[in-house]
Amino acid sequence: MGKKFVVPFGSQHIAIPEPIRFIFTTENEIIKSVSVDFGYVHRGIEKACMTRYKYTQVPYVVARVCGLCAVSQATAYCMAIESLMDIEIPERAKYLRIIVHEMDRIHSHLFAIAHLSEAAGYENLFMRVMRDREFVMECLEILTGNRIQADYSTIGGVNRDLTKEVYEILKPRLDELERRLYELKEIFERDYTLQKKWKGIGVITLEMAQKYNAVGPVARASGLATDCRVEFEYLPYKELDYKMVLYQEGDVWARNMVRLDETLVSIRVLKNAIDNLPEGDIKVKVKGNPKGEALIRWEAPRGELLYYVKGNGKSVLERLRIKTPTFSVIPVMKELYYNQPYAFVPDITISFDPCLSCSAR
Amino acid sequence: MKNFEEIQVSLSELREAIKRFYKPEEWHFITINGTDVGDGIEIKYFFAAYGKSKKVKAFSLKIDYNQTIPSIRDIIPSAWIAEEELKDLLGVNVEGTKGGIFLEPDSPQAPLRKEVKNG
Amino acid sequence: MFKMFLFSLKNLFSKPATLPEGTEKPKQYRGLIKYYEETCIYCKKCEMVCPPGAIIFTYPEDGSKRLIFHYNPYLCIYCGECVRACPKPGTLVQVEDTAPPATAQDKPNDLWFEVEKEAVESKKIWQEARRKKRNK
Repeated sequence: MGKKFVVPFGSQHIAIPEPIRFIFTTENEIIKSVSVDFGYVHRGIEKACMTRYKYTQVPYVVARVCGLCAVSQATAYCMAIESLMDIEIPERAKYLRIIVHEMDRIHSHLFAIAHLSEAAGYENLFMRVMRDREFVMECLEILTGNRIQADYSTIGGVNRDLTKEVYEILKPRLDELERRLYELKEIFERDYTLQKKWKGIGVITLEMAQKYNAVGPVARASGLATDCRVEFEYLPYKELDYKMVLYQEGDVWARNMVRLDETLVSIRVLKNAIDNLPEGDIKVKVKGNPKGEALIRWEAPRGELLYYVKGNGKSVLERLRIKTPTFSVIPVMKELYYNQPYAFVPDITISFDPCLSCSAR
Repeated sequence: MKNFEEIQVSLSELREAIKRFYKPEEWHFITINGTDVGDGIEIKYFFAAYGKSKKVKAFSLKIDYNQTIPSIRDIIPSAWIAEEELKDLLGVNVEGTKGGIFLEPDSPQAPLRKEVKNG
Repeated sequence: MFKMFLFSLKNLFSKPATLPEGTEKPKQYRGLIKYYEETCIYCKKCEMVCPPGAIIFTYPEDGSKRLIFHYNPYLCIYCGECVRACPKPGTLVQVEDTAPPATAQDKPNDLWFEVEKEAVESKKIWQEARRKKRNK
């Protein structure tokens, strides 16, 4: 029995630039109890969407919930409203949504991978991944007109079409990106330091993932097959040769590899979607006000995103509920720290790819 | 159009119903949602089935503003975070919550209540 | 590991991956909104759809139908919703430039708050003027 020490992690920490605060009580380096506090950045977006903005303006508001998954937030909201109001969007719009959404996933995942390698002390790899990420950022910029805030989905379809010129630019870029991603995969699979640093650290077993209801890449790294893209068919992922990535190990390394493999799957889906884009309109007109309730489970880069909307026939919604993926992984994250050495904390935390500003909303 | 199943339960049978229903291998607990409907708060517990089943179930109940609801964190350990949010953002009394995780002490209390005006 | 070492060595002699300053933005980049009054029919649809409220019309005192267009480039989120809502194509055009950073001298907030206030007040005066005109 050693002496007990209280070690705070956050709310500002060099390993993670977002405000979350853990207070660890440690005994000889081993963590014995954890308390967690977050929500330092509550912005009241739900309240604003329920009082101030019309339901047609809300896609642009919820896109500001999170920078890295802005596209997913707006798309999920639009799909929730569409299923509430029974709107069938054109096939071309569905494909375009998949294209932008998967680009968003690639850049978010690459950011997470880069961040994790930086936390492992591998600055060189961090810069390399960030440089390759720039490719997909430029693709997004060409297609949607902005790097981060795509503002692409709107209720009833999408805002911009993929023209022939854009296609000519995108196609070689995606090929180049795919080549680079395969190179990256080789590095991550073979690198000696990273294997030492990440394998067997912070293991989440399948039972633990089920017990604490983990979502997204965290769950899939533990062998829990949950993916809203497969479970719900809002968008035609099946036609585009989408396959779920599953790893069984559940450690930091597996979580990283799930993300890396998912970028490769995304690239395949993206290329299929771009080549087989159906002709037609990109938008249908929407009339009337929402009445009733509906929910959407949608796979954002970090996992399951829930949008619950309730309308009462007015132009302002009665309730909009956003459940972000990080909100769901915090319980399992808290549980995982018990009996781990304090030195593993940064790696474990960042392997979850936490986005606290979106959880606080 | 409602795209999930809803089961109405009363406050006293809520815990029993969830205990009977919830199996960690079959159901994924999503979250708890509270809505201020004007004369009380409507609370919904969302569950989704694993696999390709497209199924979402909700246990729903309505309570008065000052009623206390029981905690389900011994049945579903990850529910504590949703219960804390219910306490902070809607001011619902949930057994065993301490509050203050989502909001700081100097911020407006229970901001999602209808009587709180957007300033 | 060896590969990454070679990669670092190569990087020492290669060009920087970042784009130099002043690189042109890609075509159809979303930027500021330009307003051409000649074709405007003052339907105020753009004001109604704008999510952040960056477009406001104020009313002339004499009660004429020519409303005055105000646009806040610092508030605009470049979503282009106004351009799509406009029934007269060409009245609102999205260009590729973005707003320069606002300085304290520009008083971006104070001036805009005045416009917001004026929009409410001038509407009353305008309605009054309209009523007088009609009664004549």
